[in-house]
Amino acid sequence: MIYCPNCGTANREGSRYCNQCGAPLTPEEGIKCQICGAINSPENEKCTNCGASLKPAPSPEEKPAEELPKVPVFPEEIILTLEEEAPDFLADLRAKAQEVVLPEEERVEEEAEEEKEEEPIIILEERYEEEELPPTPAEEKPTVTVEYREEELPDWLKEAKEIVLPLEPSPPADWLKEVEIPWLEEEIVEVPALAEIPPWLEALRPIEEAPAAPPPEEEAEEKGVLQGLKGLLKPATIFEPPEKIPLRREVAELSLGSEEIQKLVKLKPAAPAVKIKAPPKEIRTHRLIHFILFLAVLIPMLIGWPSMPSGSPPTPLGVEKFFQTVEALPPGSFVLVAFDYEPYMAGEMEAVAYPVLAHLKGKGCRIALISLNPMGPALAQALGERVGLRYGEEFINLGYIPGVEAGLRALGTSEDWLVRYDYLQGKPLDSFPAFQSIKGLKDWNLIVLFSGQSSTLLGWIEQVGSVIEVPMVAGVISGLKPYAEPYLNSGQLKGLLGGMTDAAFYEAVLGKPSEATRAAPVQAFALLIALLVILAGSLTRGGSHA
Amino acid sequence: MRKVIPILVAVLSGLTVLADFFITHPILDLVGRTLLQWAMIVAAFAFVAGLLNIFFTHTSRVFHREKGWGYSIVVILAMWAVLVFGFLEPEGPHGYVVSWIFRYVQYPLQATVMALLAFFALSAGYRAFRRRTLESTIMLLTTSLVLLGYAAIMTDLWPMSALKEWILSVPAMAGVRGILLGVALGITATGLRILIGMDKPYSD
Amino acid sequence: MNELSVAFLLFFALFLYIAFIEVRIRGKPNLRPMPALDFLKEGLQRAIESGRPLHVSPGTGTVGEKDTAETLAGLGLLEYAHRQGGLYGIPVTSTFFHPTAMLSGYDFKRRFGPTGGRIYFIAPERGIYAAGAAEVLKNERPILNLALGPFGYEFLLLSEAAESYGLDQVAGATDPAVLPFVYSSTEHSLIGEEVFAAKAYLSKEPKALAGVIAQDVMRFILIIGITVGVILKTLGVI
Repeated sequence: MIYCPNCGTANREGSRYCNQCGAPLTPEEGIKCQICGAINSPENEKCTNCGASLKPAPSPEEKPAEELPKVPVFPEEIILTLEEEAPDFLADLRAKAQEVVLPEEERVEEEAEEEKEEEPIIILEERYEEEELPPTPAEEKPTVTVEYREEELPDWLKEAKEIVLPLEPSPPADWLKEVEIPWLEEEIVEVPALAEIPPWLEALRPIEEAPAAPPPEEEAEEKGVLQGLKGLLKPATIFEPPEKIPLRREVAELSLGSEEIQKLVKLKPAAPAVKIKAPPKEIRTHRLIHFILFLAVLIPMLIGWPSMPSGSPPTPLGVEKFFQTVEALPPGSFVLVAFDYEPYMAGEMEAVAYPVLAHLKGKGCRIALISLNPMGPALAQALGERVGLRYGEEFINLGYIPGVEAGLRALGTSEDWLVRYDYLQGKPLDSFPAFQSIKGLKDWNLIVLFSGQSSTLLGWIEQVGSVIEVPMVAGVISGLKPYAEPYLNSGQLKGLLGGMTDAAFYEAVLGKPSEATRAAPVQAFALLIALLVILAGSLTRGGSHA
Repeated sequence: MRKVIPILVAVLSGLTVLADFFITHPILDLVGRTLLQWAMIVAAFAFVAGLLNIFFTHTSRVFHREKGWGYSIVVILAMWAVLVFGFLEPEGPHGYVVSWIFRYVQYPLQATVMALLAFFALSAGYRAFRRRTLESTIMLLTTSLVLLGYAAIMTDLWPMSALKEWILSVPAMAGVRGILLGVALGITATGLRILIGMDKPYSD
Repeated sequence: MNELSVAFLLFFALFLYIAFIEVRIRGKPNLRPMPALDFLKEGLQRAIESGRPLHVSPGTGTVGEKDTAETLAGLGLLEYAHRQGGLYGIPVTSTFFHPTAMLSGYDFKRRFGPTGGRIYFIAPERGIYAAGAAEVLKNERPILNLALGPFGYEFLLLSEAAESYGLDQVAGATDPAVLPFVYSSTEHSLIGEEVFAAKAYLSKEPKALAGVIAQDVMRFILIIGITVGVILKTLGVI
């Protein structure tokens, strides 16, 4: 773009005349701005477009050698010194090095006229002569002179004189003495006669102390660097025991006045009625509780007591139904077993799942393991191998179904069986002869759920159980049993095992005692001990809950 | 427009999946299933972000020698070990090394950590039942009866378990259902607020 | 049954909208006091004075699955913490169970500015998450432990760890199986639907307040419906 030197309008490259004002864009004698490239007339000192200076910068040959600014030497003079060749914007601040002496009135005005643009804003006057120590402040009166450029000075200040700040306040002017200031005049005030002081008040008059003796005159130091100084502390003697400082001043020393007050002060405080006993050492209660519970589990496990009761407690209804449902399966039935618990629940859930898998193995069922949990297939595989199931013949692992609700919904609504590949080797389901006939969800004879969370249990019941007629049974952790029982009562679940206790009953009915039979009585004993600990804690003093 | 488009996308996606739940139509089923699959894919990619977070957070802790930085080294090494073997082995995450790590390291550690729950439940109960309030007293009585019922089934005192069953089936279940109803209403309100565009858990 | 569900949802949505307009016109309604959230506000003040961080855990849930709504409730508390942290310079440390929730944490950090606290993704396994979060509590030593959202039994591990380090806690859960642990291990707890009301109580946003009002009204309607149904069933009418 070319900018018009007359009006500043931007014009296209190659234009000869300005579109706005018609001025020629390429004057014969023009100065091109180094910053924006605009052509300016020769008279211009600054570019009409960007405002940059059109004067060329001096070449290195023309430029004089830089002079180092004078370094101020305290305390002779404090001045501002700048180069003469400083850029234009520093022109206002330029000051010439000069000897500053005690200024006189005339000298200030002459200097202001001579150095119009080269005046410092403030000049501190030279107070001291060369090579002399600064005099004491009392000998010299501090003086500050402020000089301004002449054009900045108001009229009334142009004849300003040196301002001297005296140390002592000046006496009031003569004219002030004649002014009557009522509140400054002395007034004669009649002072009333002293009233009679009653005897009781007189008794409370404080005893006047004798005037303190003047402190002894301190001797000045005679030698050393502190020579001539007074009031110095004496050096302390090493190993000198400190003076005995009385802890409590005697009452007689206190100038409290009347006998009544002295009697009050002399009273000793009464002895405390109850002796406060120091609190006992804090016992780490929760560590003790944990240790008690640990022993309550360890000792019965080691000694094998308690065991299942010798009497015949009635088998819970859910356990009975579960057993009957599995028992009614014909040999070779297809059973889909869902392992929907995470590794941290495996301690209890494996005790629940083990006898069920053993029962299914005994019935000759073909078991497919599946899970809604990414860790589930690995847990299922480990348990299947532990039960002794043969992979590919008695059981296969179908892996993980993502999405929980969405995955179950897809599984339940699909006509075909969706999971077509094996978890371990990735082989298609058709490559396993024992499972080739599985084509859809309805081909399964039983669905067994081992669930540690209510979401997966309810998901199976709602998304799958509601759309197909395949019977469903569930083994859950003991905490989930109350949530699952309504489904047992309504018939949506054909059997329910709730925790290790029900698993122990299942093993008893099955006739194959295993880890649940060993662990359930120990669990019950530990629960009893826990109850005793809680009751003992509730009987001791506790805090209040806001 | 910058604010309207995300809201529109969220509302339309949510309403489509909700409609798919109630209405059976082949096209709607296909669209709903596709949207759910996309959601699962996005969640899977979020794991990549999680992995990066673990790496950078623990690396920063190690470099700045913050408290517990030694454990951060273990975390980083374990993460890389499982990742590398998971990629290198032909079976992937089902390979021998990763399975071994899961079966003999992760599984026992997780089971042990959660076994501590029993101890923490006891100390929490011990602390709670020492409070002198009506709620704590009722809770103490109920807990005592239920624990006795659980323990009694393994002894000759099994009739106590009938009381436990009643407590769990009637008063406890009533309270649970009340809480579940309230929670379900809260879930419905939260979901509806997002579905009608009133609230957005995401930023612009 | 489907038609009834659809009708219920439509009515709920309509009432939600009406409640939102009511709040905008008439102003904020009076909410019943929740001591746990009052304690939370006091904890914020102590955090400002002491300079110690807050720890926020939005639960062991995900965004995208069944527990999304509870996770969003926990994220609402995290958003509030980040907002206050950005305003008053309180470091906010957060631990996450699932990366989908962790993304929201980064989003809050971007919106309200870095508070000086860290975002930790622990693991999508509950036991591991609780152990990792306990370690974070031990290292960071926050002045207040906020745990709100979908928790399982692992909550006990986290809260007992906080208790052993002497940290104050405000906790809330929705799973009835976990609520006894929440009540017994923390002095300041939010039960059930109070978790969903936390955001409305703290931020006083019209949208959140509308949700609380709509929930209350629908609850009354359900109570009336259940009562009428029980009476009719008892009388043998239905």
